[in-house]
Amino acid sequence: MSLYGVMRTGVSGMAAQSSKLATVADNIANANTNGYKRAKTEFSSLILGNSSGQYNSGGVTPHVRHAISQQGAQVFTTSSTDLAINGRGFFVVSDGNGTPYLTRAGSFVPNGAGELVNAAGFKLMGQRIDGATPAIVVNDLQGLQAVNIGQTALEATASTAGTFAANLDSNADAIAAPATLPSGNAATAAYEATSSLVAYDNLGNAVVLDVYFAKTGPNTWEATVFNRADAPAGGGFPYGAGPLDTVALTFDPANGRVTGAPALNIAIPGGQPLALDLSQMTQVGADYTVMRASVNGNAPSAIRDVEISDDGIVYAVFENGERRATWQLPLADVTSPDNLIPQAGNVYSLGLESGDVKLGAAGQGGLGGIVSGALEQSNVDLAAELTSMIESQRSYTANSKVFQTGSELLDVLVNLKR
Amino acid sequence: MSLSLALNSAQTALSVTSQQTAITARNITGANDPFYSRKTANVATTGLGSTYVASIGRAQDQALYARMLEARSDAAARTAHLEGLGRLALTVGDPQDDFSVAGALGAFQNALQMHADGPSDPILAGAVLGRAQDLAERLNLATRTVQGARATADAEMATSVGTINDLLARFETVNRAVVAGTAAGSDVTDHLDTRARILTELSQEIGVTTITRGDNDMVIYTDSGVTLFEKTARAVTFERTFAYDAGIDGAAVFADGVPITGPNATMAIESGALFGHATLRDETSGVYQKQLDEIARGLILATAETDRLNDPPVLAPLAGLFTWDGGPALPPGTAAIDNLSARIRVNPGVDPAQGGDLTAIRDGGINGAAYDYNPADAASYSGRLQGLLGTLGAQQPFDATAGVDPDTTLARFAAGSVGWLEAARKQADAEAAYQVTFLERTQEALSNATGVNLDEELALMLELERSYGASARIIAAVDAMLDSLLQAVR
Amino acid sequence: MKTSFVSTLGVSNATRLSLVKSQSELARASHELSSGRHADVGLKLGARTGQSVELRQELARIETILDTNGLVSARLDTMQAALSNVQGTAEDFLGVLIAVRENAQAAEVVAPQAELNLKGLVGTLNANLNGQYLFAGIDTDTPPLADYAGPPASPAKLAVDAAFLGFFGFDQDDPAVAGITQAQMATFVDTQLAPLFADPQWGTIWSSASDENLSSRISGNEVIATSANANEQPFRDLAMAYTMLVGLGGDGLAQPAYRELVERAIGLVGGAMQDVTTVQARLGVAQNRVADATERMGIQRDILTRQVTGLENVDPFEAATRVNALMSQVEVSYSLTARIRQMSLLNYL
Repeated sequence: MSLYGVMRTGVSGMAAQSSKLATVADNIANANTNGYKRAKTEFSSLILGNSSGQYNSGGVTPHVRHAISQQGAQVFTTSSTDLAINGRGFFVVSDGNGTPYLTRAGSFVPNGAGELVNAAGFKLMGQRIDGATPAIVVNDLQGLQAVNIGQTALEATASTAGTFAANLDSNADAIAAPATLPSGNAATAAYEATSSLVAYDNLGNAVVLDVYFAKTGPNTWEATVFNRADAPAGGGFPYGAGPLDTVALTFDPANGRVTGAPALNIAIPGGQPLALDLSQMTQVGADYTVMRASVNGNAPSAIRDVEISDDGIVYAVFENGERRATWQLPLADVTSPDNLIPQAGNVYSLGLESGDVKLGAAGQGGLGGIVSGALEQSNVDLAAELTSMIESQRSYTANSKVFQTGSELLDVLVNLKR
Repeated sequence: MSLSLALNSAQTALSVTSQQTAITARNITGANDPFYSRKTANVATTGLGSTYVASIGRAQDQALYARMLEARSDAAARTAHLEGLGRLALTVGDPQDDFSVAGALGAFQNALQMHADGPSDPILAGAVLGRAQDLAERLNLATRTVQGARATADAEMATSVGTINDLLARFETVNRAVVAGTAAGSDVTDHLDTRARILTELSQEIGVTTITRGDNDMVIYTDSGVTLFEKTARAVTFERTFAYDAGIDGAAVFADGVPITGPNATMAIESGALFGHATLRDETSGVYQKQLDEIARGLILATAETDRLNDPPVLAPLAGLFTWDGGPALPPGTAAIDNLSARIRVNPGVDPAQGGDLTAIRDGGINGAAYDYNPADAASYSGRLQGLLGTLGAQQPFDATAGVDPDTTLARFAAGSVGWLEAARKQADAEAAYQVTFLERTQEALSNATGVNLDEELALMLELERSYGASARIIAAVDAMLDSLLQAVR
Repeated sequence: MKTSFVSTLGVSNATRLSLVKSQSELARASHELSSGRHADVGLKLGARTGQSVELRQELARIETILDTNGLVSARLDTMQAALSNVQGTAEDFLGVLIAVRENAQAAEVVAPQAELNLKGLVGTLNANLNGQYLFAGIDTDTPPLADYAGPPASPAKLAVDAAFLGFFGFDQDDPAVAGITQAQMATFVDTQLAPLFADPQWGTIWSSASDENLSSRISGNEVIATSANANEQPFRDLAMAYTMLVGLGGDGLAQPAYRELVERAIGLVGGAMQDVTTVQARLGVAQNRVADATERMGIQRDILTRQVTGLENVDPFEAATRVNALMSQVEVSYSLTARIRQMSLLNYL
């Protein structure tokens, strides 16, 4: 019995080593596969029941483990949609049937429909941002949609807020009769300074706003805004329609700063109400100088590029330089990443032992940040694999020697009867 | 996995080194481009030993650059003004050549003096007529020159406005590329160079101030605060005036609907070629023209004929040797009359070629017998001629707004006008020389701060070569190590 | 991130700009050296260009007045000579008259000489310089006096003849003249002849000259009379004296009547000689003033010339030094540029 046992033990050893060799082969083959996680073979012994006088050899059984939680080195690329994760999170991807998987292989490129697809053909999943960023459902992969960075229409944004800060000359003379203030919109209107700003209406048409500043008395000024479209040919007063808004500015003679928080509340024709903040205006003894001038909103324009921030927000960059958040990329995590079930294409599906999936925004709770323009390489080390290969080759040979020895002993035994 | 990591690090190092070499090559190419700013690769490392070029930096010095823009605008304004004054100074020439109105006036007076000594000599009378015609023509020519200078300045302004609009349009394109590139995190340094170049060219034409907003978005204002560019280029408009005379005011330049040149500009610009041309067209030429008009008026008044029949005179004095298109009445009032220097001419009554009589220079009487100083037609009567010399040499009141001492003789006024013009030119020349030198110094300082030093780039290149070699050596070493491992597999 | 403090462009630009500057400065300096004047007078002088222009005009005016003063003195000299001539003739004639006044045959001696002298006086007073009749006052285009005897006979002769005929009832050639008494003759001379030599008859029958003398501006502000005219008293007196002895019957007259004429002629000539001296003195004063003014303006001209030169000209030594300095500066710039060009890391790699 035990002689056969020896031979079987030898066979089990050879089988185990060949299994290990298979993982080594796999590792070496995928040494340059992005997002590939090294497989390693662990052995466990099988012991048969033994009596005191007799030893029955058992065997060995291989267990394959994947070093999924071990992060690979990052290489940098020139594509902004090549993504890597600095931490323990996973991208959520789905196959053609909509089955969700997890992966760290982030070499995404847009396909014909504008969906981001990685090298193995899995679509990147995320949440669309429409206005406010939606809350992430922590444990549900089904609520996610395939991220689509293709453009369906020209996008315009109406202006809603702006800031204008300038210095007004404290030594200017107040507007005196017969000249009138710009707010009166008369041909005799006079002013100390004017600037224009571009705002956008709902359809993204540029609305040029003429902002006039006129001194009304010591430390008091008047800011008036007109729509350029109403201006007479060649500029100047009077405008075809009255001012869009006017506000009095009072400056503190102690430090030249404006008191209160004045703002021009402008009803953009065909657009949203625009609050132009004037609270940073100053009035000191220097020439009219504009310090800050900005109004949000953008004209209709095409998406030029995609930028992905490290917290997983996908921004569409428009031709005119505007940026808009369009998608949120959640990262997934499981309790035991090494127990995820590897599937073809560097993806992992959830198994019983991996624990439940948790979703979260990048950068939160150890999920790690997203690095745009980088790829995670496989965590295979060739030298280690080659070493294990030699080791396993030697073990295999040794096992075969055991088998050979058993076989030769059986031969001797059979030759006992002649 | 450390061997693979070493290989990976070496590989990224190679890529970074080659990118840095590319930037060095760019720097060397741009070494002689005055608008090129030196680029540098900002290298970052990640946790696992790999390095990458995180961004490309551009040497800049905002304060120096702003100063350079300012100096360029000032230098352009002064130079443009000086050029215009040079054109006006053509009416003066070298004092040696007596080409100026003052010179012609002197020659005329001398001819009168000669004639006064030989009143009977028709050759001397002809000489007086010739000098008088010369003087009138010199005044006419001076006016044409001045108004021509104004028309030239007007044309220059139109060119300048065209250039400004063109530059602003180009600026819009480049600025959009800069903003979009900055938002997308791509390398916008070359666009920034182009934008700086456009802005520099713009500052040549008009004084500008800028503010930079988020995403490198730039807003341009004139030095007086009028918006030139904010997301979109604002229109700068100018209506050309093709023909000028003293009574015609040139049109103002409007930026963003606001007049920025001329007497009615609330937010008038203070520098740039546009300003220099506008100053010449609207101010300097006007004053100089007024002086010429005053010389013409003084000349007509000094040579007027008075009533000889009645004492005290009953008939109004009328234009004598010199007259104008409003003649024979004298120019009214005591203020300068627009264009008089273009309208003055020698009275046809003394020009035989126009049916006149030369002896009228000696005798007067161009306006009829009542104004005849020499009714007996005595051949050597010199009273009128001496009288003319007297009135020409006497003090006259001139328009006080003409910029020259108003209570003086005609000759001194004419000489004063020359002095006024040359003083303005000398001052403009000194200012222009100062501003140009200042601009050169600022440009040099800016070039030193942001430009490329070839030696430095070469030294950097040697360094890069070394680091590339070292990285390659690491790859070779790892390769050799793996090789020996593979040889172990038999 | 920037380690160097100088850019390659900055280095080459600095040398280039200084070179360009020095070269244009050199061009200007060498032009000034060769011409002796500022390259751009207007730019250099600025407001003082007006002064320069004014000085030049003043200078030209002085030159002109100096020219005209030359003409004036030539005229005055000629007139002085003519007057001296008249004076001499009168003096000689006076001597003759005094010598012959007691002589019965005086008329034979006196008449031809008086006729000659009258011709001479007319000729002298009709003296002409550059087409101008010197003694015509301002009426310089017509000879002031006509030849008395003619032919054709002058209006003066006709008037004298008519007066004689009207007073005595016969003409001068008539033998009846011998019957004229001294008193008759005296009355004729006083009432008939004398008015012919006084205004207004003098102006119509004798002289076409203007009473107004030529006036000239001899300096900036001096206008003086610079001539005498044929209407001056001595010329009338002389003409009258000569006429009396020529045209009133002469040797036909009885001794007392003729003697009356001679006596009166002596008086007239004597007075006229004094008056001619007065006229000469007047012209002499004018000559003096012209000479003074000329001298004064000569000095003024020198001063003005110096001032103009001082304003417009450059110091040739200074200009030469400047040219030399600039040339060595340019040379240094050249060699410096060449050396900076050579100084490159490239040469050592």
